[in-house]
Amino acid sequence: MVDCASLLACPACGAGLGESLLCADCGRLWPAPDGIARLRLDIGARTEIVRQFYDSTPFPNYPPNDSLAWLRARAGRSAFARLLDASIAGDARIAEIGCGTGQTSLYLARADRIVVGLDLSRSALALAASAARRYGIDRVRFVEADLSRLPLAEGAFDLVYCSGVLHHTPDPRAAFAGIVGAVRPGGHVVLGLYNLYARLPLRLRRAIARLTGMRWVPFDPVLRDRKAEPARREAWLRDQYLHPEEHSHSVAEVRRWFAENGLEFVSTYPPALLGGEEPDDLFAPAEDHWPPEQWLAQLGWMRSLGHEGGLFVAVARKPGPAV
Amino acid sequence: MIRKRGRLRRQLVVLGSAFGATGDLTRGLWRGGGEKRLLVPLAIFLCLTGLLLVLAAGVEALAPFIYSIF
Repeated sequence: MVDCASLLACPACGAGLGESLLCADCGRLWPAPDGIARLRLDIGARTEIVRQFYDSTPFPNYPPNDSLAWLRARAGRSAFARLLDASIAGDARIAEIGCGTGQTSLYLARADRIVVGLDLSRSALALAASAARRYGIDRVRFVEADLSRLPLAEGAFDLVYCSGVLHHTPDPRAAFAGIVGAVRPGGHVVLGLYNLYARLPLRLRRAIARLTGMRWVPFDPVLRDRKAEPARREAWLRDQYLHPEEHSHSVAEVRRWFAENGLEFVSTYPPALLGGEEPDDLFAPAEDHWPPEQWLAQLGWMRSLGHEGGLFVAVARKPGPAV
Repeated sequence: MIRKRGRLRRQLVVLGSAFGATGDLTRGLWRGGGEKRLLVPLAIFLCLTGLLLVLAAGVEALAPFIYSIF
């Protein structure tokens, strides 16, 4: 397994950790049961509920007979996954915050990249580490961590990728402020969140599902697609329709978060431009940032993103020399 | 320096500048006598069609798989 010691930090004091997970400053030795480091302190009651939620149903989980070829084929059908991979340098250091069962971390761990995948759920991380062994991927390390005290070295990463996570925290704005420090100057943050408008179709479907006691969940293509995979179907159903903590956010709100934390807004995916072309670099600044057009584009996302829960991606850059 | 603008703003600028030309055309047709006045509805129809095409071009139909990749 690749040596990630210089990328990790003690969650109690923030000092560097050796490969043995011994803090150089406070002397605390952190455990690593089953090879997965546990680098977190006690968590709040609301976060504990979310942790138990994902421990009981790891997300998004793996189908039977999965393989590295399956993982790459799944990613290959997603224009976003291809764009993300193509935009990241071959020697980048990447932190995936909220990696769940680890598919994105494993997909991005190519060439000379080093990936650290962090999650609160140990069950999900166990599946991720098991998949890494099955696929023969050794440039990734999975760590049990909590967003409020991330065990990442300051400015150690070229990219912090955090998708589908912050909207499940009690205070997404504060949680975002906590992840910015891990990015180096000139590096990027890629943030995936439920969109305020694009989430509306799912909220409507959820209201109908609740009225029928979850017996009928109408018009959900992801559920239909996973009919033959009960574990992954259950994971999607619980994540989308039964989650105990959920928020949704507009592009304008996320841009305010970026500004508050000294980051430059780069772009969104899909582009918040009407009739805009598919970008060929995720980190290239958007052609325009016109608020009325961004608002109209978000209304359009109800149709283009509504089928998979209305998650959009916002990209920011920390000022500094180019990566 | 001319700032780079998004496609919608460029289209709106083009459409806005077209209003002047459309007005001139309509005025010319109206003043041209009874026979040419018959072309005014056609000019209005063409302008409305142009507006619809601008709006239709802005509708995003892509389904990009961002959340349910795996």
